[in-house]
Amino acid sequence: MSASSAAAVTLRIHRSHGGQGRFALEAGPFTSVLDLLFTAQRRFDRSLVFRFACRIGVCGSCAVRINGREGLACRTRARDVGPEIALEPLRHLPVVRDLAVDLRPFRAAYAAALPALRPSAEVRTAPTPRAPALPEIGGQGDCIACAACYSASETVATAPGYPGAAALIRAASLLADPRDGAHAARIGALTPWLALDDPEATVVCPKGLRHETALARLRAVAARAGADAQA
Amino acid sequence: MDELVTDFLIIGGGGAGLFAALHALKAEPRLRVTLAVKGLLGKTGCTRMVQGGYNAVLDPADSLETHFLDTLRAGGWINDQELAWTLVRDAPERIRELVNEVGCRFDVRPDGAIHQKPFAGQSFDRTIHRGDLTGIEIVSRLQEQVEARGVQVLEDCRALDLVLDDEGRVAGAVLLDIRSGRFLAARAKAVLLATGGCAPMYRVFAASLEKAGDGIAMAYRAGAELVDMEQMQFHPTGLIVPGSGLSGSVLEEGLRGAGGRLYNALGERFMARYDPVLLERATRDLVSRAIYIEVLEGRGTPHGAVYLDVSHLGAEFVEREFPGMVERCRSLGMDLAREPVEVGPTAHFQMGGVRIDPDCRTGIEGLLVAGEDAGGVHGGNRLGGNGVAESTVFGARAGDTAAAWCAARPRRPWPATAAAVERRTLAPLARETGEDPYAVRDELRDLMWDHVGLIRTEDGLRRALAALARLRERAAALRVSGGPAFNPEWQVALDVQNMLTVAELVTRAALLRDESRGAHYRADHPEPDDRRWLRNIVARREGDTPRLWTEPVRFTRLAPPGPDG
Repeated sequence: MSASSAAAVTLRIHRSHGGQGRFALEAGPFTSVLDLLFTAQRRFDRSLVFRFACRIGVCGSCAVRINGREGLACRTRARDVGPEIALEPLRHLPVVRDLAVDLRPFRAAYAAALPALRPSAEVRTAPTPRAPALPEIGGQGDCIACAACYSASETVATAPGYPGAAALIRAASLLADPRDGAHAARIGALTPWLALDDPEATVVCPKGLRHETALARLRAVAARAGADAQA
Repeated sequence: MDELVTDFLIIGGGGAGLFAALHALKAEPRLRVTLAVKGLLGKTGCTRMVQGGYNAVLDPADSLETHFLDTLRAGGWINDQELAWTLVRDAPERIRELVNEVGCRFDVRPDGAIHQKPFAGQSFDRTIHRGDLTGIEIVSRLQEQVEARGVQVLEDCRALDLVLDDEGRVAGAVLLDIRSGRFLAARAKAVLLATGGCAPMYRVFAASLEKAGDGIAMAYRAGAELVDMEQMQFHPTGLIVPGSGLSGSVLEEGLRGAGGRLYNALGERFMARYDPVLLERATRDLVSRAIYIEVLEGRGTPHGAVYLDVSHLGAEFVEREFPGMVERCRSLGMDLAREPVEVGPTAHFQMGGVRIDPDCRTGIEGLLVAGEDAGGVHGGNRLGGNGVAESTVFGARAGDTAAAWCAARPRRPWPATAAAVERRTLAPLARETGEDPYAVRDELRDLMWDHVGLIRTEDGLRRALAALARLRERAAALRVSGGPAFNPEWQVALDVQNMLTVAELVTRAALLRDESRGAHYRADHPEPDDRRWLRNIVARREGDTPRLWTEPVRFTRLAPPGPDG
């Protein structure tokens, strides 16, 4: 197949309120799944709903399940998926319409990790920026909160209230942050969840993040805190 | 119409909107703040997409005066000097706040100071960044803080129009809940428009897809003044990838700053003909025009682009310094570190917008504007790194102003005329036949690119105005299928109405300015004319059409160099 030729693709899309669900399209060498969605919507069924914004993989709006596996539609090349592409919304989140989900439960779970920096008074009032030079724990700085890990997780389904892998990565990063004054509160809030491994979650992370390192660090800190409490 | 009562209504959730929410609550913790975003919280707008960085004076060897002068030089000396001074003066404090209170992490030097990298057009290396993905860091951390403070967030919610009482004072806005298709009468004491600009009205654009100039259009309809509308910045190195939505997305300036080279389809390093001294490091407007001319004159690739080559800098260096861009190219099967990629100019940033004072006040009582939808800070051309600085500086000030207003002012009565907004908005759903909003949008994008883009002429601009008038007639007869609940075609119809309004203002202003300055280039008047044109173009609605006039720039702090330099 030459690099510039168009290949036939069949797009099957979950529809929540009726409408066309199967689309016969063509994909060029650079066509992304998001590109196919725009074509399907404009040319065949204008009621098709899917999320988008930046289209360069920094916002996370377009996270969906592609042939059963979570990914960003804008950064997934149709050629890399194959001639049959099935699209479904993320799991564990209310479907608003077609592929668009409501992210509030994800954000509510994420909030359990106290993800906002709570600077100590000394840092907050410091006259110059106190920029930490510590390495990221598990590449946290790249997390775009797309909820792919939340969707892929089995633990989210079986343990209501579980904050999710993204939250654990954020929490571990904050633990290593000397500006933050909420270490104890954060570890306290997370301790009930740290026994869970959640192995499926970050396998699908579009940024290549893995939560295992963060989890190991959180467990170590929690164990020390528990030992200190008993001492 | 459903009703919502709040104190401070913020429309738009980028850097300006998020920071405004935080500052308003800092000043007045019991304030009711409502944030309406067009999509998902923290995922809309262009702040998130910022790669390059944030300009601020931190180093003792740098100075506010130097940053100010750099900003005015880039702006062709038509910046509002009070706004520009506010930008450079407040930026260092916003950085302190972003680091110490919001939790941002920026790259640091081995000695612990924040790393500041060089960026084109600046006489000092002052651009703060986190790798090449600064925007994700800033928006993610801002979003976490906003969510921790109980701000009422309305997602998938767009504003349709501002609502003024009988005395022309802001009473609130009519919002549309995109999911349900229901209208919301949002009554507020203060309203902030922070919706960004309208780069997506051009065929090739870098901005986030949902942007449609909503804030500028709404402010115009409400009777606000707009300034510098002719000034539209094109970034020279947008990725050009046929058939891909990634086309138009920016490959940052740092690639040229680090030594990247541009070649046309004949293998020539063509910048030698346009700026033999600076070559690829010439300013964005010059490089953009050079590429445009190369392609226009037949020396571009079959896709209408030129080649950017950074491979000679070493693959390891490129992969280390520009990981985000390397990854984006890789997802298309291109290797930025080892081979040339096709690039071309892309509509990037709107310098013009609603006229504000340093506290973000407009001429309309109760209305604030901050960020890209405000005009005057950057004059004729924006320095790379000054954009996210603008959003956060003026977003913060808008929050402060709003808090003071809400404490001092009563809620204005809601007029009966607001119901007309609902009728007008629903019209495309009610028609049996009519115009296709996608087709109208495509034609708008083509005509703006061809006639109101990088190279403008009087003839082209007049043709554009005539074409816009015809498009406006067609846009008055748009027809969409389906009902109001989560109807994407309907959203395009609403977008295109606002884009047409903004497009007309840009075109009229471009026609009026018969010289070249900043990003505005007239092939029939290719030089700046300081004798006649150290002036700003101001626009305001009068009846159904805009009235444009000019005002002399007030050099409140620095006078431009005379003809002898």
